[in-house]
Amino acid sequence: MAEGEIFGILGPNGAGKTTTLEMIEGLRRPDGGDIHINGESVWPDPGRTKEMIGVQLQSTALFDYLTVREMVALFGSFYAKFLSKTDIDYLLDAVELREKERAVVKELSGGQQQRLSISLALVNDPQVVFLDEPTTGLDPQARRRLWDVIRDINSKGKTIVLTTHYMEEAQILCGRVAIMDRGRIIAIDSPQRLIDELDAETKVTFQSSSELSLTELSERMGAVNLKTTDSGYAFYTRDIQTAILGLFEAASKQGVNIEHLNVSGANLEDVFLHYTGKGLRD
Amino acid sequence: MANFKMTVRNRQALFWLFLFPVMLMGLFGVAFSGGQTEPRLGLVVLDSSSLSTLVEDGFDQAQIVEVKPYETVALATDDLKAGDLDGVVVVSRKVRRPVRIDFYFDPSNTFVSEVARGVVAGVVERIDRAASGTPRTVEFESHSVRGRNLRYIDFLVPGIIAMTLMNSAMFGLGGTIVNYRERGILKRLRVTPQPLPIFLSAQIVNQLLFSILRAILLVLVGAIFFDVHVLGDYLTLLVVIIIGSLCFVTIAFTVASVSKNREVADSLGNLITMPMMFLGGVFFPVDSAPDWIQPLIRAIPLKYLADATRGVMIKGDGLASMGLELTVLVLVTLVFFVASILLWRWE
Repeated sequence: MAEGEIFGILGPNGAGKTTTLEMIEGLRRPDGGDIHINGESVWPDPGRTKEMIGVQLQSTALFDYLTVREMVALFGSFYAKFLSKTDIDYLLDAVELREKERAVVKELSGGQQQRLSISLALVNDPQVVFLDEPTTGLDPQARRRLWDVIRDINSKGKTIVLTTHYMEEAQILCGRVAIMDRGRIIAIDSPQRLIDELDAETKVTFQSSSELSLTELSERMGAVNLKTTDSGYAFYTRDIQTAILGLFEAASKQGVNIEHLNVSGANLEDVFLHYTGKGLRD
Repeated sequence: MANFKMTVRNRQALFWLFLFPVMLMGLFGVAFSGGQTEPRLGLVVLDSSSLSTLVEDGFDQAQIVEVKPYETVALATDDLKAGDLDGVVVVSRKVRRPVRIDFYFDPSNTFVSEVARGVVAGVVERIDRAASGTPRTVEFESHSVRGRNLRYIDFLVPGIIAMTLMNSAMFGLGGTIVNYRERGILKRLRVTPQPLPIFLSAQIVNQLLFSILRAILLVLVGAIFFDVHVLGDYLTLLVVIIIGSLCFVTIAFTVASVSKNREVADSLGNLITMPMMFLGGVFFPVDSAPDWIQPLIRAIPLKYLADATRGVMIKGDGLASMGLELTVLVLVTLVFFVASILLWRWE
């Protein structure tokens, strides 16, 4: 993992994502190999590296009866680095919890608790932040808000390592992802390159204002297996440019309008399927 | 500090910590403190004049007191100190002086001694009026004698204090640790550089603080509502409370370490505290229990804590006179301290 990037570890439940993080965080002793953070070896004594990292564990585990601000101050006191009042303000602003600073943890929503949990991972101004499935269990809106928070933290120069089983999340947030299954990393690259390498066909669907002549279409679009579906037409191609150009030429020649054109490329889900033969959330 | 705040904000915990023991004390105190209602007076007559006979008759006629004659003042006050009497009336007379009545009573037994005092004062007034002579014919003075007039509530209050030290450690602290482990809070703390001993020490200090606060409350309630007073000194009581608390804290940590989850911890806690509560002499004395069960009773740490607390509160014992109790408690603490370290689990 490189400095300043958002690195994702993607894999189904039980793939070993959390175990890998726990070894890096100093919670679980690896059977073999070395782990270095910022040039420091984590094992055998993880005490030094603990000062340099911020951790959010998978389950949100917080003290029920402390307020948001007290919680941040308490965790700040666990580190050598002094956490001032303005530092706390800054942290609460970063996770958008400033207006909730007097609320007791128990009263926070799931998304708020998760954001608080992330702010606790930042109390020591760490160089690397580990987020273990930060958005699991959140509604789409809360998830999006959290993505903004994570990107924001990254833009302030912190390296972020996160695990997820949402491929959309990895695709949007991560500069690079490692795809993991059964304890092994089977692919590691940027989401886009992983998808490109797959060399998958692009799926195109569309509707038309009136019926089209399929044979003429197929001729102009190159060898494309064009089919009619319940809601219109669909085809797969590797040469998207020829296909789309041909489609519009033929359509205008026939005096037909193309409507609801939808082009969908392969995504990480397809990459995962390709490497492991199974879906991410199986 | 954070620990303190958390405990105060947890309403349910506060109930078990403070209100419950007070309620328990009130319940048992009221339910079992009935017994004698008729004050028993000892009467010592050291004068044989007609006036003195009048006094004697006066007491004989007072219907709400039981009067028992004594030959000497010493014999009567001995019985008062032993709790067999509620007051002693001494009638004496010096030459050319009015009859003198001295009333000795045990102030720790407020209700009965007040009744007795009222009776004595009433009798004295009646005699005074009957004699109708000038000047005053009777001189009256009352003296308090600290006795060991033990009532059930005197026995109960120290027992309850000892019991709360055990229960709050077992269910309060032990339960909290298991809860923290179950919810992954211990694990979260582990990724910070904060060492475990500091975290646990904070928990223990918090536990001690609340134990002391609760003991103060129980002593106050005992004093205000049940007239139970601490005979020994408060510093000794504090030492006993701290040693007893630490003892059960280490037992609680051990139980927390071997319990998979909260349910297991609670059942195991009950399994340990229930027999201790009944065989440890919290509610009823166990010294007179059958011989075959005595070895078991002697193996119960709570028994030693209850004895030590009782020693300070009702016998006025100092630390020196409870060597056995304190030694046992410290040894048990050390054993379970080691056990809890060996068995400690983060997840």
